[in-house]
Amino acid sequence: MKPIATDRSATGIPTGRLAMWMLLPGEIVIFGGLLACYLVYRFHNPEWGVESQHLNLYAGSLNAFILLTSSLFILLAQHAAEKEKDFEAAFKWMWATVICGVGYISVKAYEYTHEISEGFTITANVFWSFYYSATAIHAAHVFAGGLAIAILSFSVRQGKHINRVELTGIYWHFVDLVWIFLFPLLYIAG
Amino acid sequence: MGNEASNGKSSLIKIWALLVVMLIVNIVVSKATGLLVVTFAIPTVMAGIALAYFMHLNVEKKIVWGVMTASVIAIAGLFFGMAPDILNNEGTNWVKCNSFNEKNLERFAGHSHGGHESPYEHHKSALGLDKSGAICTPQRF
Repeated sequence: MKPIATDRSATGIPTGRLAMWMLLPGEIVIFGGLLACYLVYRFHNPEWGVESQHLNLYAGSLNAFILLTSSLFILLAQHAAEKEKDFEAAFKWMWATVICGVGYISVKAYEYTHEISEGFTITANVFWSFYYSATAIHAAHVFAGGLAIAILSFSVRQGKHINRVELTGIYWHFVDLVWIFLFPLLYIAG
Repeated sequence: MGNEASNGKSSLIKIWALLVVMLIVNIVVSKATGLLVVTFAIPTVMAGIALAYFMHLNVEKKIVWGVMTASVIAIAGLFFGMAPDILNNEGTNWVKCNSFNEKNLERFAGHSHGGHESPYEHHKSALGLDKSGAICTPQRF
């Protein structure tokens, strides 16, 4: 028996999807707030361009490519589950997304290890404070999204909760979008 | 049906390829020009494409558009609300403490502590303010 909220919707949008679209503005405020503050300080401190030279541009670019590709994978999972009714394929695409998430976090861990060993810690200066805060919060979101997709994949394989693939997909695309902004502003700007 | 499904898949792959190309263009152009505007503009377009075609915002109801727009306006308000204070060094009745300006120079240039050098003198070379800077408290920024 499903909860009553599952079927009822004043907006005409399915409850789960509406809930996800209500979650995202909160995430926009979190990341947007951090980015807005960073931008303001960045304009005032052009010398931060020197600090960003110490970031690994190749690692950041690789992470951007990984997340973009993982967005494609979750879309293919949704397509397989909803249009083709191929739940086994959907399961595999979902795990491809999860593996991309693991890859992202691995690259990030390598970057952090290297930067901290060079002395660029979160307290080094305000640029590094912004860098670690923004990227760590983002990585936590990647981890949470990957975990949700991994758990959901087992239900989807049995043909259950197919609509949730789209919901987790919307969240995952948002996480990807955040990196699309974070990466150039932190790694390239200046 | 099979054709429709493969068309849908190929559209998704084409959009992904477009986003990857835009990512590469963003990296190359931003590195070449060093302009923050460019660094921000291309990701904004990429975000629009992802929102429309990956997140299907182009077919969503208006309430979703409204909620997303409201949050973006809030962040824009935060940015433009903060910017005048952060980006300026002085205003009508205030002066930013650790910044170079004439008022700070007058306040601290000749100040000394019983024969010992003033904090300004002590820290000015460390902060690269040898000839023309002034600070209120010794701090790096």
